[in-house]
Amino acid sequence: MSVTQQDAAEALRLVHDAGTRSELLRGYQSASPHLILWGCVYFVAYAFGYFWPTQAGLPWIVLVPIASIGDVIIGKRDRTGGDWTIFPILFCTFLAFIIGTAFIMQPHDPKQMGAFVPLLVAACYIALGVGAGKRIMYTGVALGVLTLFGFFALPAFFLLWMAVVGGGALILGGLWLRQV
Amino acid sequence: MDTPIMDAPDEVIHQSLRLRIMATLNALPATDQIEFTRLRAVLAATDGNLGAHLTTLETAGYVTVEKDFVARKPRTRVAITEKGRAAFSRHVAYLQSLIAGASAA
Repeated sequence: MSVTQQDAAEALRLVHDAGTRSELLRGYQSASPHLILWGCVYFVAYAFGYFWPTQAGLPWIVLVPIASIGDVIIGKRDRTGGDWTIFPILFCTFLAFIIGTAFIMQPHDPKQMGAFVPLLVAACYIALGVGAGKRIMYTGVALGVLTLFGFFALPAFFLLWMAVVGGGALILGGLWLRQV
Repeated sequence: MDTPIMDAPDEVIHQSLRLRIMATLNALPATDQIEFTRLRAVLAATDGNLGAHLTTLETAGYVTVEKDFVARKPRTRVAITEKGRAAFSRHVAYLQSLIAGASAA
C-alpha cells in the first residue's frame, strides 16, 4: 500500500478531528451528572426558600455538603485511575470565595446572594465552556440571563423563579449534554 | 520513549473509518469503554459498516468488544487495547514522518 503525502495529511486531519470530537463528548458526558445534581439542589433549596422564607438558608446548609460529596463520588467514578481530587479542591475554593465575598459585600437582602451564586456559577460554566465545549457555555449563558431576568423583573417570585427556571436550566442543560 | 516509525502504514488502521474509530477510542482514558450506539453517532456510521470494521479491528487485537444486557436490553461496549494504542501511535508517527519528509524536501 502506498500513501502519498496528501493522503497522510488527510488522514492526520481525520485523526485530529475524531480525537477532538471524542474528547469533547467525553467532557459533556462527565459534566452532565454534575449539572443535573446541582439543578435538583437549586430546585429543592430555592423552592423551600420561597415557601418557607424564614428558613431559606436551611436547605442550602443541608444540601450543599450532600451535593458536594455527590460531586466527589461522581468525579471519582468518572475518573477511575485518574485525578479526581480536583472536585473537592474546586468546591473548597468556590465556597471560600462566596463566603469571603458575602462578608466583604454584606448583602442586605437574601435575594442578592440568591442571585450572586448562580451568576458566579454561570460565569464559571461560560469560562469552562470556552475550552470544554459550547453546550456548557450556552448552559452558563442561559443560567446567567434567567437569573438576571428573575432578579430584576420578578423580585416577588425570584426564589420560585430560580427553583423552576434556574434549577430547570441546569437539569435540562445536563440532559442536553447527554444527547450529543 | 519515542514511538518507532514504520516504513509502511498499518493496513488495518489506515482505512478511513477504522482510523477514525481508533482516533476516537485513543482519545478516551485507558479504562474507558464507549457504547456502540454512541460510537456510531460520533462517527455518523451505519450499524453494519461500523460493526464490520470493529470486527476487523477486534481480529487484529486492537479493540475489545463486550456484549451484555442492561435492563433486558442488549448493550455493546468497545474499548481500545494496549496493542491498539501502540499500533495507532506508530501509524500516526508514520503519517507525520511522511509530512515531515515533504517539508524537509
